[in-house]
Amino acid sequence: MMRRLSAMAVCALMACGLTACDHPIGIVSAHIEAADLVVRDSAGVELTRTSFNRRWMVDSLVLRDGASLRVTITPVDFRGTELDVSERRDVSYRFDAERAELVQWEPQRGFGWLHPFGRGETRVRFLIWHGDHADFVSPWLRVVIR
Amino acid sequence: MLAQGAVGSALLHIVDSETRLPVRDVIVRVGTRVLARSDSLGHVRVRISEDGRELTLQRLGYAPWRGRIVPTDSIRDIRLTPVRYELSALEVRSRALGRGSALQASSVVGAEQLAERLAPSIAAAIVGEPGVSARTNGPMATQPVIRGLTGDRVLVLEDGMRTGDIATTAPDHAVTIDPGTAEQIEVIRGPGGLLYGSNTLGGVVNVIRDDIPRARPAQTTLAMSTFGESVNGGIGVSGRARGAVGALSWAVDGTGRQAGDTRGPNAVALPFTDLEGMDVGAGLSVAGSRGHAGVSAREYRSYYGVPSSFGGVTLPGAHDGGVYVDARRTQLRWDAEWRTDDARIEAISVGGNAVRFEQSEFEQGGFVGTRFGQLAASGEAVMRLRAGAHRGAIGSFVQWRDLRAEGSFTGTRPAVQRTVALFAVDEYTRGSLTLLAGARVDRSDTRPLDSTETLLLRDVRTRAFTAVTGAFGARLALPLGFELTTQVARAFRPPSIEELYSAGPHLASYAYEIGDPSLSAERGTGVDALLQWRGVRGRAELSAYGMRVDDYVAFAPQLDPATGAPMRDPRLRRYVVYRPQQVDALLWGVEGRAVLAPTPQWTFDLSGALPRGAQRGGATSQPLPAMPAATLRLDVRHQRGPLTLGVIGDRRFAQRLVPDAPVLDGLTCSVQVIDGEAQGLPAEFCATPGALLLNALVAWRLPARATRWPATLTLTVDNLLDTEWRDPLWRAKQVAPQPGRNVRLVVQVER
Repeated sequence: MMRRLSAMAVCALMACGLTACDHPIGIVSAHIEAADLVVRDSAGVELTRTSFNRRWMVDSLVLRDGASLRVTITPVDFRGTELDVSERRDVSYRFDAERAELVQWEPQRGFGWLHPFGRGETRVRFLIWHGDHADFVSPWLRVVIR
Repeated sequence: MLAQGAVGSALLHIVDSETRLPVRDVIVRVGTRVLARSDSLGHVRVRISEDGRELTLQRLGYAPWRGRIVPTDSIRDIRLTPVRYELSALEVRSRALGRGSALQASSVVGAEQLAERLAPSIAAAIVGEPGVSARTNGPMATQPVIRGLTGDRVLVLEDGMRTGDIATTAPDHAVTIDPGTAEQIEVIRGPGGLLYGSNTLGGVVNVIRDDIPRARPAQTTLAMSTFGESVNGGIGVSGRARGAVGALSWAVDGTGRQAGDTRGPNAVALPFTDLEGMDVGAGLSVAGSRGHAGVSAREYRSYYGVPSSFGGVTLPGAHDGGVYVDARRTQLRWDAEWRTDDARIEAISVGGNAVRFEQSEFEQGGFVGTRFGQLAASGEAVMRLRAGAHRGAIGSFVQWRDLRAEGSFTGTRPAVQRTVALFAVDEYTRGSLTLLAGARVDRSDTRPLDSTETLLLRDVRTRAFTAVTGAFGARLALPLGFELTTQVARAFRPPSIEELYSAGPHLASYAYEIGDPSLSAERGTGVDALLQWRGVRGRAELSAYGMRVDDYVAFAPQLDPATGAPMRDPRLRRYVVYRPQQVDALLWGVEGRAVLAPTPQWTFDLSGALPRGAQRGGATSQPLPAMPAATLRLDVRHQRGPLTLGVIGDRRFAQRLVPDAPVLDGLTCSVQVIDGEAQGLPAEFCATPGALLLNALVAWRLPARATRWPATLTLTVDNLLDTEWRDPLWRAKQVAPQPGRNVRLVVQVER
């Protein structure tokens, strides 16, 4: 009886330990270590880019009221090498606008649409969203809709 | 417990020679072998051969009793003489040398002292021991500092094994051991802890629980305590029980505690210092005269705040809303020892543990800013040897850990670290001279699981380190009760995962840290001299030490080469970028303690430490950052029957030896609010004023005949005068003071 009890107790303790053998963070999902962001139009023409992620290379981005603009956003690392995040299911591009009633972002796979909804001026910024947090937040970019 | 060839037994009844109260937890030994412990009634039964055996009875606070016991049917009364001046009646122990060894300055905090302090953290439980202080970031996030070194330079162990947590990686991480049910905590100061590990530049803190019983308890014992304190409205309860069923010995223990925000002087609360904690464990073993084998499981959980503001002022660099840390550690441990009759092999001992650790850090709004996860395992095998006047050991050690992190506010890169070590130690005693020599070879490699490079983090690669370390010491017994010990030791510490591969914000450090994969290992060479005296009415020790650390790693702010201004982080544009730099450092100091009992009723305990540290080389010598201040402590106790009165004066000297501050946007040690944000220099660059603190204590031991269960009531008042004081190692010292007056009541019962 005692041996059986002892064996059961030891097995219970071992089971407690073994159930704890799965790693709390099973998959390592690396951050996107972007240094800058490049914004291009549908023809691949560079519209603007950040400089050391402190400022944009253009004063403002001009949109025409009612004319959506198809853009691609590409992160680059500190060497200027473009980072391909298209296969990363845990990474997406997000968008902030100070006046959301003027301009909206419609994400698509590999690109997105900037939809202007009225004339005016606002500021927008792009985020590289990784799981539940931002890996990259661009400076504010002035957008003028005429 | 049955010795080979035993034919009889004796029931011992152990009492205090002054109070006649039973003494529990007295260790009964034959030589170095532990036979049994006394229960709460002071009873212990030992089985012995017909011609009797020479036994040693030991208990903290009592003079050791030695004598021959022969089998008898009647109860043999033994009176232990209290010696309140004992510095450490219990000795430091290691798997390699058993009890007693290591020619190093050391001290032991016993169960009674731990119950009296009832600290929420290991560091707080041992503060006050010579040379020991604590680095704090809230009451739970504290780490022990030994001789000015902390973090990865101080090895914190639980029953000799690695904790498997990430306490050493950041100042806001807690050591995941609750001291509430520890049997004792051993503190070994200085390098040369080669029996425990290589990275012991500062020393070793070993928390002894014995949750895998090493000796079969004679009968079931139970000890419980509960406490309440005023400074944070904290309450807690802890309990420990031991027993045996047939051949199986068992042990269970548990602690639970809860506290609100800590109040400073004048009752001003420091937000985000509340905590909850729980630590439970159970172990089983088969223990006998030939040794023991057993397993234990343990679960630790804590939920605590990291402060962010005080009196409406946000701490410099802290993010608004504070952080709450939810830590959980699950451990499975196994341990076995086989004591042989072989003339040369005394014992073979193996042990190991597997730990699963996870920690989530909740930002304002409740989202997880950072999440850490780690699996770790370690194991050790030791063969203890003896030959004539020699006793020693050879052993091996392996460790593996897989650390991962995720979240927006993490700077820690995932990595796997493996360590293998071989060591040998020999102690030779001839007459009044004891010599000790030991050597250890460590091989450690660290492999990053994410090798993405950034502008500042380049050449991310696996690093491997190999080092030979060792120690040589001598102890000479001198006339009049004096003993002189000297030791030369060499220790080594490979860079941590964070120092090698960090790339991101470290909010607790108020910094954006970027590692350096090309770092070298730290190598320390230390010399210790220890003079001890033991007399009829007291005991004293004085130690002096010096240690040179080559390639000491310290994080330093980076300046933008173009502008000369502090470099701001590329992700959040908020924090100054810090990177590890290596300098040579020199640490030196003196520590001492004297305990005198001129009469059996009065005890005077005086202790102090003067630690110093500086960078070596270069045109100017700079003090090392975050060095503890000098301390002097006098503890006076008066005991009359079951009543003990105590007054403790604690002098914390000013710490003005701080490194020159870097030029950081004109910041000073005075916190200013700029653009709505509190800004000031990091605490390590700011001097700290001194203070004199007074504490008081009243303890009343209720005899068993009055309460059925022997009980002790202890009322302590810390910081009696509600003095405002700052701790040099408190990261928010420019803004927030240390706790004000605290009244604590502890009730202990045992059976």
